[in-house]
Amino acid sequence: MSDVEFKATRKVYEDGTVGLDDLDLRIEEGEFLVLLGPSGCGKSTALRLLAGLEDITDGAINIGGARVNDLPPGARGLGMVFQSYALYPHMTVRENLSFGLRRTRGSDKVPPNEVVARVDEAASMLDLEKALDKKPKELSGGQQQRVAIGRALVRRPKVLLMDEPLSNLDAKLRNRMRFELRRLHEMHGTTTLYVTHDQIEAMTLADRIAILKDGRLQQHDKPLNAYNQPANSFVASFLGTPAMNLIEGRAAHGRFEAGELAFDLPPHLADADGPGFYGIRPENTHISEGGVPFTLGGVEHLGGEAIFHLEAGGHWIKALWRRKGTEAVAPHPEPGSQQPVILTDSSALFFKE
Amino acid sequence: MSRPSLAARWYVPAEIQALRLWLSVAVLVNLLIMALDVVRDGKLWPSLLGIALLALGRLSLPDGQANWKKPVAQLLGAGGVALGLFALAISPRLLYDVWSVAWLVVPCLLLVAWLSRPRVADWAGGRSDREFAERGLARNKESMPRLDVVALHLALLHGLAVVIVPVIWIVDVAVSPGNVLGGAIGDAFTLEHFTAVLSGDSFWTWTRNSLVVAAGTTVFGLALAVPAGYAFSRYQFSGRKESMFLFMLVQMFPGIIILVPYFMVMKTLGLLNTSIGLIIVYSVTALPLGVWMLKGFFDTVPRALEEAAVLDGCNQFEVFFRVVLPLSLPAVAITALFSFLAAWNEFLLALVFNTSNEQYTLPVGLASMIPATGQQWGDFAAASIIVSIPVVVLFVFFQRALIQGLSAGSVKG
Repeated sequence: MSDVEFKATRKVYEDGTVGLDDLDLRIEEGEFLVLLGPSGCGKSTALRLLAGLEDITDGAINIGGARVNDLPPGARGLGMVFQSYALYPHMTVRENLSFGLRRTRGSDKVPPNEVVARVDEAASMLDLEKALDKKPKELSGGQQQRVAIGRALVRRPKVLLMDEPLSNLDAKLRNRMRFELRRLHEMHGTTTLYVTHDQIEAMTLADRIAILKDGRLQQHDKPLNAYNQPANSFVASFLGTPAMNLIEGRAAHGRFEAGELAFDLPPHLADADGPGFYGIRPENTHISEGGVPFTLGGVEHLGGEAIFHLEAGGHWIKALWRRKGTEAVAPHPEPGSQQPVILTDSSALFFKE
Repeated sequence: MSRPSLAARWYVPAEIQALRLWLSVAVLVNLLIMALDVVRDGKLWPSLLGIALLALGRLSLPDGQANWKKPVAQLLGAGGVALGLFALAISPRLLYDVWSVAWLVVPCLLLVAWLSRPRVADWAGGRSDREFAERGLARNKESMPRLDVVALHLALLHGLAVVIVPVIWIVDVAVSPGNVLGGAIGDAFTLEHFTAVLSGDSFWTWTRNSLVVAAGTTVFGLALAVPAGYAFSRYQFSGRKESMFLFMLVQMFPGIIILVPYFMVMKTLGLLNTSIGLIIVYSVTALPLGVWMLKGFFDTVPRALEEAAVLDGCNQFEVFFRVVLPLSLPAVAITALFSFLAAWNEFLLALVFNTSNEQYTLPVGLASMIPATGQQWGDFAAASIIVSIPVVVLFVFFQRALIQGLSAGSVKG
């Protein structure tokens, strides 16, 4: 059993800052859970508490049903990939991979021939056979990354922890390693807790996402659910590029008013009432006849896509245009011109907070 | 007249630029030579005249506008050369005389020769068209680095001479027969002083004492400094900052001030005339520097490495001995070297704490070879050379440890 459970877990640092505030979170066995949030949201704190690198102030953490609050990190059966990789610079790749196995004792002791076998297996799986006798500094960034993953995996951990493992790679390599990580997870099915601030990594890797802000859990759901049904305006603005349009105003009697900007709410939001945010994703915001008039501020051409920046009554929104079929370029309306914008897509949302 | 081009405004021939600097330096060096001359034979006027010529030559260096400057500067230069040659003719022509005259003649020769070059002469005559200036800038870019290299090596040679002359002298005294301090370098050769020193019982006793004390200090000092440095680097505890400061404070007192208290303590503990006494005192003296150096190095070992080791199942000791210490070996080696050298060379404490010949360390022993009468300079020089050999060997050996950047490439970002 290797499910993980945070039970009202709380972390308060010595200076009084709250790192994590009553986190209740369950990671099922074999699940790939991504902890997502901006920096300082408590995601790394949660990971370090689980790893045992920091002490829990209050609450509990269970691994496989057993409380691990007071177990030393090495005894929790975890493998961890650090953001900086933290490879031992004075050891070869082989020694780096086998270091943890050679530290096992007593009934957990891994016999020497088994150590060799596991290191070879990890090396062939991660394509590191030729690098086994090199020191970390002789390796490329991608290879160092794979050694770090291999070092975490050879111990056959109950839970694999990853702390922003891709953030030191260049964009191209990052995309490839993202795919590799998902493939490795499908091969091994190790319960994985992955920390990142990159919502694309979260969307592509995760079975489920947990979004944190200021040490509090905002939403815990499947990636697409979180994308389509965000629990609040923070989650809505955090997931998706470009971010969801959020217009602050007041809904009443089937109409939404935000200063000079006012329009009828779509039928599914007709019951919305009181102050809040009207949210609509840029890809569902269309420039089309019969819409609310907006002033075009500018256009960003991205090739297959274009982002229109629009303003009305002091509110800025974005509309995403995607190339279809043989259309070569986005339409080129003049900045400063008036454009009718349809805001009443059936995907639109209303957030009280 | 049109405005001068950008190139013309910036162009000054490399020769002029070099002369501006070198003539100034030559004036300073000649001032020094003048001081030495006064001490040697009290003759002031040749040096004074030379300095005046150099200084005036520097002041009348062409500036690209005033036409009268070039002939005046060249005339002054020629005067300097003539004066230098005359001074050499009436001197005993020792190496020193040649050197001091060269500092007058060479700059003056360069002044005369470089100002005669067509390009420099043109520039001094006021030529400032664009093509001339641009070519000149390109030429400067080539010749400036060469001139810089010459100047640099000249300076380095002077530095080298200052360092190496005493060594040559000591070696010469050590291999010269008899007890003479003077005499020409390399006029005779004998190993009698080395034989005398190495065959004496005292020398081996002192060597043994020095080795015991230096090695003991290194081991004991490191055993204290390594854990202390690690604790200061990694742990937060009350009084941490204060004790770091106190360590430094102890270092700030001149040794002679703590000499008496040390002596009293040693006397009370019965540690006078023992190696252990010296080891303790030296370790304490070397500790602050060692702790600070090691703390600084431990600070550079990333915490993530320790966390990785903890997750790999290491306890605190394994983390330290298997990960942190191997990475810090260069710093440990340097600290060890410093402790060893400090103990090996220390004189004052060893002299005060040890009263019997049996307990002398090498520096004290060497000093005892200079009795009130009849100095044995040859033996003394030979012994000095033998004593410095281990130090040289250690430095050569530890140089590698210094250079090794073990931590490079371990942690990115």
